Amino acid sequence: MRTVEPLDAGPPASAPTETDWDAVERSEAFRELVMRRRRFVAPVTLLALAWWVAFLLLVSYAHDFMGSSISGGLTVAYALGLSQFVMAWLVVWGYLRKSDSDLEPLEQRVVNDAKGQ
Amino acid sequence: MSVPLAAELNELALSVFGAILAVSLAITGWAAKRTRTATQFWAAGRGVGSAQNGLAISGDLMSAATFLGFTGLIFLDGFDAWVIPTASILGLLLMFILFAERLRNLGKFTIADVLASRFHESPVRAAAALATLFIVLIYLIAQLVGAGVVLQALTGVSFELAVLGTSAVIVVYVVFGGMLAVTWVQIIKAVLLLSAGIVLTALVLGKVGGSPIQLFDRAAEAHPAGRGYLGPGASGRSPVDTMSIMLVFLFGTAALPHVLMRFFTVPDAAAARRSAAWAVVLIGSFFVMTSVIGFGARALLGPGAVESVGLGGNLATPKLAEYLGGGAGSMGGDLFLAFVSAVAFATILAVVAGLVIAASGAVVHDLWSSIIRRGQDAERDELHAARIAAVVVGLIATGLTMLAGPAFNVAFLVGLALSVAASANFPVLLLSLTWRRFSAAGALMGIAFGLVTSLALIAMSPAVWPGPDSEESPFGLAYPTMISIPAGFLGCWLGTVLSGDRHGERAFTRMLVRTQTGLGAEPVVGPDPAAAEVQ
Repeated sequence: MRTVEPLDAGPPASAPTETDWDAVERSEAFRELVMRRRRFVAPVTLLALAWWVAFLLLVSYAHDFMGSSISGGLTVAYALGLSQFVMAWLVVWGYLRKSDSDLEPLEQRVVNDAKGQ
Repeated sequence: MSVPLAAELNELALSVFGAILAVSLAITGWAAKRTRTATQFWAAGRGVGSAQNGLAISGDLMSAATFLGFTGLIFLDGFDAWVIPTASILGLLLMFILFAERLRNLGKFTIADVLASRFHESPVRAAAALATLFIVLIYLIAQLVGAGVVLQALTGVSFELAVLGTSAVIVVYVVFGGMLAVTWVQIIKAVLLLSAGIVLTALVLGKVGGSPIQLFDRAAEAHPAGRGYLGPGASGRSPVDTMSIMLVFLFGTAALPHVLMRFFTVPDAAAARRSAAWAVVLIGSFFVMTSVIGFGARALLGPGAVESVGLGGNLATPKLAEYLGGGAGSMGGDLFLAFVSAVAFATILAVVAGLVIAASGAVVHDLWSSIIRRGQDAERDELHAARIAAVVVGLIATGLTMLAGPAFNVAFLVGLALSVAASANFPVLLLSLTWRRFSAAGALMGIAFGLVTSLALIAMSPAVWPGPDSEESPFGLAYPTMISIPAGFLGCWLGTVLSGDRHGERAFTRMLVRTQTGLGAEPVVGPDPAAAEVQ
């Protein structure tokens, strides 16, 4: 028989004790996790956006340069456009690798420490 | 504008459509047995696999608009049209690296859940739900109008019948099968779409001796702008308009509610990351393929096809398929055309279903259950309400689509939906997840500023402002993003600074730990009805 369960997002009713969020936030493992993640995500995101914005500006204002040919019908424009996709794929691959090797183990440590509290 | 392709197409296309319909209804029946709780209805029990979810997300973004619309625009305008997918893929990248794992760690079923987990005040949840509803409804009408037009052109069925039939089928999917059915219909459609893309790409390259450069050369020869077709500028679009449209696709795609909702359907944050990764790879590949298909249509069909491809070039890909199969009237040609039409049909069904469930979520889970009923309802009642909402949303969307009619400018609708997503949703979502000082008042003001500026500037844009296009409309650009996105961020900052709300910082700590680690995340429920009873 089910009891009425409030639907508002909050800690699940199944959690035995309220997690001490402040303690976790102060813990060394957590701080390291946040720092490592930020050290990857921030520069990579900014660089990716910068490359894309450069593309945006060239597309909008440098028609002649963009329309010039690299080899026959292959234009600078197309090559730079393609590079956006390649860049996206590289970022994805890079972050997944980082997550698997560095970040997920750290996450696990933080969770285990918190559950052990 | 109806451009029927062939009378004989009727039976062949309709029978393939029928097959797709039968398969998807079978899926719905299978899913119905596994949809007994709210978690199963909204989030498929959180048991969707990474590759599966990646395909489903790709499906959401590879709509008929991308498959037919992008390729059609590339046929007409060349490179100028292809810049749009380059913006979408970056939007998806932002979704991957900034949102995917955090959303899964924080939210339950909807975006408003995510905001509410930090800002417990009801107005924030209400504002987020209303913004979601607005975006989704607009997108829904755009998709349904497009569906009616495409189905009418490909099968000869009337616009009204096409729209009614599509809506009815979709409501059945959602009501009985929930997110599980919607997800699997999306997956199957994505596989079909990617296959069609690969086949068309391969055939096009085959026709030009395997050389993309040959393809580009021949395409340029077949266009009045010549070489200009292969670079920016052939469409005559102004620089500021170009930047505006790229910005709207970048930030809008990153914040589409019905796509973000998919991150709640996977078991954990790692799966959310991986599924977003899959989506970037799959959609990226697809978008590159659209350039080959679009240029291919130009190279192989030639400039003479401009008349027959219809408004916005929507029929360029079906015509290309027909040509590659052997030409109009040939067995191969008819078969290819029928296959492409069937893929377009499956695409329409899948995307509209995803939108209906997202709208239903905003109405029932956010506005009704959490706010009006204050979270006191049993899950069973919410499920019941969700089903009713799906029907009501279907009826309203159908009615509005009928009012709009087949000649309605859907590009403007899509632009509006994306503009609101980019200006109201994106800033608020990003800042909620990353800015310690951000307050509930900031969230409200951010949504308000983003929404109002988008609406006002689009109302004043050339396409919407009454009077001939030659008359100056108050706002000269087609998309408001150059102003509305900064306005959204400004609203967020202003609301935060003015409210001086300090207690929001405690909630930030909790949110930070949750988003970074997955502590306190909603657990997997799975499809087993027996397990649901125990929950």
